[in-house]
Amino acid sequence: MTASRTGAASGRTLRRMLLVVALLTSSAAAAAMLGAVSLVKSLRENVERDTEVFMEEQRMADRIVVLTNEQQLAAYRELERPGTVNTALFSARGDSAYREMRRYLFHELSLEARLQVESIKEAHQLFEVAANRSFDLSNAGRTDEARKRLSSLDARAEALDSAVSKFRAARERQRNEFRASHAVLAQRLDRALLLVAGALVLLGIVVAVTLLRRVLRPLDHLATMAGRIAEGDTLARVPPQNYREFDVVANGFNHMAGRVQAARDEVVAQNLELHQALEHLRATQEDLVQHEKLSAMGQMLAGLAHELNNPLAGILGMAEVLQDELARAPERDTRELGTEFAEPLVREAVRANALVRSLLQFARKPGDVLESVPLGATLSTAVGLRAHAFAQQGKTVRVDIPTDLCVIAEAQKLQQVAVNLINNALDALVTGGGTGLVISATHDGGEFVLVEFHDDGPGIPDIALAFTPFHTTKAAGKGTGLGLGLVTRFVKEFGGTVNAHNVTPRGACITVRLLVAPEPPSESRNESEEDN
Amino acid sequence: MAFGLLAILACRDPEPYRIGVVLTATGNPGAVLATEFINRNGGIGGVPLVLVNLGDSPTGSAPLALDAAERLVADPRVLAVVGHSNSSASLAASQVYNSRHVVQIAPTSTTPLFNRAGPWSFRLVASDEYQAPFIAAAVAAEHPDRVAVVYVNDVYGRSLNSLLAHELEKSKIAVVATLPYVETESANQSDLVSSLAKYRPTLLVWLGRSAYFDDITAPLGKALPGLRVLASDGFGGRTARLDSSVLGEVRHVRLVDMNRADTTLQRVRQLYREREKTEINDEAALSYDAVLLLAEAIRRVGPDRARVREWLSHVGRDAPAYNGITGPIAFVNGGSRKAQYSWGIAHAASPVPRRAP
Repeated sequence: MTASRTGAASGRTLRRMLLVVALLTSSAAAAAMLGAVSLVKSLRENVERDTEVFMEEQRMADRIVVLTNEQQLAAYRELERPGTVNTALFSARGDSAYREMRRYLFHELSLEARLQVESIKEAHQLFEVAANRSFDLSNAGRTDEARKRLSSLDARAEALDSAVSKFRAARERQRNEFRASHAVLAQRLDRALLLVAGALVLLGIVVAVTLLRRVLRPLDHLATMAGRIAEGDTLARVPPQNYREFDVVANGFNHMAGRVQAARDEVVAQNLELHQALEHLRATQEDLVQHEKLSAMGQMLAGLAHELNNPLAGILGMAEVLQDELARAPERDTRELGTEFAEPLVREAVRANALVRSLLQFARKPGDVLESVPLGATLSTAVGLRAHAFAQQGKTVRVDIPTDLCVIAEAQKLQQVAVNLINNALDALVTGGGTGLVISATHDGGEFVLVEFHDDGPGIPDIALAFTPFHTTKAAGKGTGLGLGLVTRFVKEFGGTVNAHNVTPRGACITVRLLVAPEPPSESRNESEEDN
Repeated sequence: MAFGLLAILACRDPEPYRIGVVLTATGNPGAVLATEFINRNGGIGGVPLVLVNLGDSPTGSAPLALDAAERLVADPRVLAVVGHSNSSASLAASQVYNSRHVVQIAPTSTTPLFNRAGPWSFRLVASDEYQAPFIAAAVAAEHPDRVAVVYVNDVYGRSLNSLLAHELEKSKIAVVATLPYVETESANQSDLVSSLAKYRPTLLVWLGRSAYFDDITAPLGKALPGLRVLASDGFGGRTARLDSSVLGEVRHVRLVDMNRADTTLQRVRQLYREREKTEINDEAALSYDAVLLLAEAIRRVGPDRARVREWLSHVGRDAPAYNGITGPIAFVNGGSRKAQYSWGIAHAASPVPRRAP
């Protein structure tokens, strides 16, 4: 993965960059140092060479001055006291001076210096000739003539001295110039070294800036992204880097950030699940409390109903007897009494008996035996019980259920469920208007069968309260408020659910969801389980 | 318009090649004759040759030589210099030419020190290291009783005197007097003659130039009748004017054998004689060859100072010698030519060179 994401950094590595920078820096520094050393060496060599040449020239110049002076001295001594020693000394010094002059002239000289030496040379030549002439006169015993020639020799000597003095002054000037040039050279050397130092500093700045841009800034960026992640911004990512090493770190960082984000999402999801579980637990707890309330109420109702059942049975029996007796009375007034009093008494007793029976059924514990029940046949039976009532009210009821569809249930309770829902529909159709009821069932393809009780009545005013026990929309004395509660309880016992919703433009639809039966029913149970 | 300008530029006469010449009045015509010969034959590759003639002093003054050299090297059109006329001037000027990288061909400078002048300096004669034994042999052949040496007190005379003294000493020939003179000083000429007469030499070896000798010929003949004179090559630098009535012939070293069977040499001699009304001397003949040699160098390598020097350095070494009117020229001894001495005889008014023994 890393390799695939290092396109920008392919071929460019920090190591290589640092190596190149190090090489360049060291090369430049080495070159600068070598250049400086070379320059210093060259300047030193030049200075040494110049100094050597200058000193050699100075030595020659000094020798020329000394030799010509010694030659002059020898000449005058020879004239004072003639002898071969001074003549030989004169010749020797002259030859040496001449050689030095010739040597000197082979150096690179300015025209002025060259002319000065040539002037010394010519003055020296003249002096030598004049001295030789004087020597000859002196040797020939012509002392007076020789002394007269001294003036000529003096003039030559003065000319030579003058030339030498000029030469010496020129040498002094040259020496000063030489020192000045050395000072200039030293100044240039200082400047050159400063330049090298400046170049090295500049190089250091360039290297520092390069490292700052290429190394430290990516690191800062990485640190910033890490800070953002630490502050909770798990979407923070580092872009592709220029160098492979940074790119590897960036990819690792991004991978880590992705993992952190995934872990966080997982925690959020788990929290949500936990919250939902908690809510479910609370709902379950409320259901349990409600269940316990209902259970207690059921037990109380069961006891009450049991206690009322017998008196009611007696009252009903007595009322029916009374009604029969009154109906068989010959007097009209007595019969009317039967009609006016006994008949309502029987009717209300019957209704009270039905109420008690319903209460007993409501409070009754769930049965243990569930079986495969043929849905179509069971519901058709229930419809048959109430078909006359529908017909009396001018309403229709129709069952549209496949004959081979079976569900898990108790047949009688399923019939009770259907009767309750049919009754509710009929009441709604009668009171709210509507044409009829259609009962249909479909297999959802899975483990459930959806049974719909669909009427075109006015609909359920408050669906949220529809399944609450003792809640009824019927007129007083018409409903107990336990019908849908029983339906819900029975269906739950079957392992199913009940839902209700209104239908546009009018009507209501009660959907009973029942487990489909795994196998066809072996036998039908028509037994009524009625608890007394 | 551009074509017109190009046409005008193309039709302009080419800039002539320039060679500096610093020679005496008798040597300079040789260079002029050579230049005329070259230009008559189409110049150097069609480009005419021009001499920048500054002239040299007969005494070979070093300050004057330096001044001339500085003026010549300051002109970048000057490709080379022929000069100067004697050793002292040539050697003084050589340092200027070498420092400024201009070729110098000294036609007659014989001092051994010229070998150290530098790589830009050449000469068409041999060093005095060869002339000294040549003169010493002649001295020995004369079997003189008393030998005196007079030398010009400059770089030429001093070194030749030193070399000759060594050779004579080797030949066990005693020298009774060695006297210097200075050419620029004429006031003490009588002193020189009187000093020389004191030693009563029978043979005088003159290591100097002929001008000064001309001036002392009469007193010398009177003071030392029958004096035989052998002179160095400096004597032949210019034509001697001897008074044969007081002094016999003077034999002097010639750097060029003017009698060699070379038609060009003879033609040049004839031309020189017709133009200058006197016999050609060594300086003129050698200057003639120097100009021809430089023209050949320019023709071969072009008008470039460094390439001319490079070409000259190979002449006679790993390149063939150049055949001039003075014979084959080969710079075999550090820029010097191989020795080829002969003896000339100078006497009254019309010196007739002849082969020396």
